[in-house]
Amino acid sequence: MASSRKITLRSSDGESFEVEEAVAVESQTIKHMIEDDCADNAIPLPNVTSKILAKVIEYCKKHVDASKAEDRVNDEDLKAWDAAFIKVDQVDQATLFDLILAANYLNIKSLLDLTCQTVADMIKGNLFPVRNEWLNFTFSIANRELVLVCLTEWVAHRRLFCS
Amino acid sequence: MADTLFSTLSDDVVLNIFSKLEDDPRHWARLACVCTKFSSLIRNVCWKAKCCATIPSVVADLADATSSASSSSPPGGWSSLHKLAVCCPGLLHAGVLLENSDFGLERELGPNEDFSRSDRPQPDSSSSATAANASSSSSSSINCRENSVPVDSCSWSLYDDLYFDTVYNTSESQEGVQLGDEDVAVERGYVKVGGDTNACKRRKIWRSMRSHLASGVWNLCREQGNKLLASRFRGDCLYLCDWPGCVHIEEKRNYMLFRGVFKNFKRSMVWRTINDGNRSKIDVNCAFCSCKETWDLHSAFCLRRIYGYHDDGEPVVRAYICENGHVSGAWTDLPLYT
Repeated sequence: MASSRKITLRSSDGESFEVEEAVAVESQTIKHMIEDDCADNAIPLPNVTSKILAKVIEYCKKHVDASKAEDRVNDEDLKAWDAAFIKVDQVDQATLFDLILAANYLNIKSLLDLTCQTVADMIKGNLFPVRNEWLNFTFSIANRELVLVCLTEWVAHRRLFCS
Repeated sequence: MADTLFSTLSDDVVLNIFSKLEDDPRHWARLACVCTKFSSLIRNVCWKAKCCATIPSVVADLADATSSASSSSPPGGWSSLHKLAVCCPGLLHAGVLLENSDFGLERELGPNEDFSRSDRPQPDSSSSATAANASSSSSSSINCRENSVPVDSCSWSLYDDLYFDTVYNTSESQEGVQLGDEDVAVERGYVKVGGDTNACKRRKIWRSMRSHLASGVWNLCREQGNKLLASRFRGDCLYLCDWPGCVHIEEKRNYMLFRGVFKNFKRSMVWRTINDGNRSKIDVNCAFCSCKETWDLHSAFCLRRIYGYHDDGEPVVRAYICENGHVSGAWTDLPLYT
């Protein structure tokens, strides 16, 4: 049984979250901080807002619980939970990208893979063709924002791109 | 909110996303068209890694050849090599659509001046002849279009029919822009011929003319190259795709389209033969790089002599090579003599 020591995490906007150590060390970054004995007081996470940190903690908790012997959740159910967690209408695109950044900063490989796969699936499902002389995207309603994202990137770089 | 969300991500995260899209080469091709950041990431990292993973022997060989050169990428870039591995050049770039009824003499000797342009024999009902007319008239506009592509050595044509594979919208053919005009030209050529072609069949005909994802295994190996070249070129190293390549069933006969690349083309015997013979170039542009013209290997006597001609003037095998050593061509079945 893992020790039930509590770790305090402080988000960039000052909110504190208390979590079990087992949950906190899902993040390799936090794990190294604990090992380096930097975790006596609250661990500050200046790159993560409270909204995102709450979601990350929710994810880590679920995955830690799923691997506990008494509460074993089979893989299918966990995958289904992940899919619901990251569903695009639950999580808007800005939040999705913030989750990617948080997972990258906190070094949580499974969350990073999940979020990147979601973006990849959005790109796949979109099938937007690109013509570079003048932009004429055709896109589905659901993925309009992602296309707008790419469109803005293009516009920002157009002078370099079209030289 | 039009924030550039992708620009907040570091390169390794973006590459993480791209790595989840590597199963279908079209995803990377489209992404490389979105912006310069994506384009440089995909060209320099993704395609290079994919080539090294799928065709390591070819990469090692080509790297040896250019080890003295400053750049370590193969001629035409990693995009060309990757495209060679996965993309069939299509009937257009394999030279199948060129007029062959005179055994290619008009290309060799020049047009017959006795007949005026307006008296040129009308295309017969075969689709390939009509396509030749359509493609020759549109080849110059294709060249213009290639010029307008801003990214240097962009081997993925933005008007690849893969685009049409995903979005086929008849209203677009009405637009009066360069792309629209061209498509209408090619499309009308086929619609005339086809008769009662519906949209699906039009798209199907379309796809086989331009370059597209090849059917079959995506691999390049040297053995096939030895099968193709005449004996005095055995010293040259040519990598070809696995037999039979991408099979196209056409009206008259079946074409097995292949593609390949020479190792160290500029130091090969084939290049010396083409150069010394002062061969003229053909107006078929390379499907894999930005070369506008290619040389015909068959009429340069670089292919094995046993491959002759069919009765109607079509060569049994044809191959076209560009400045960078990219080869596109087509096998047909050898005629059976009773």
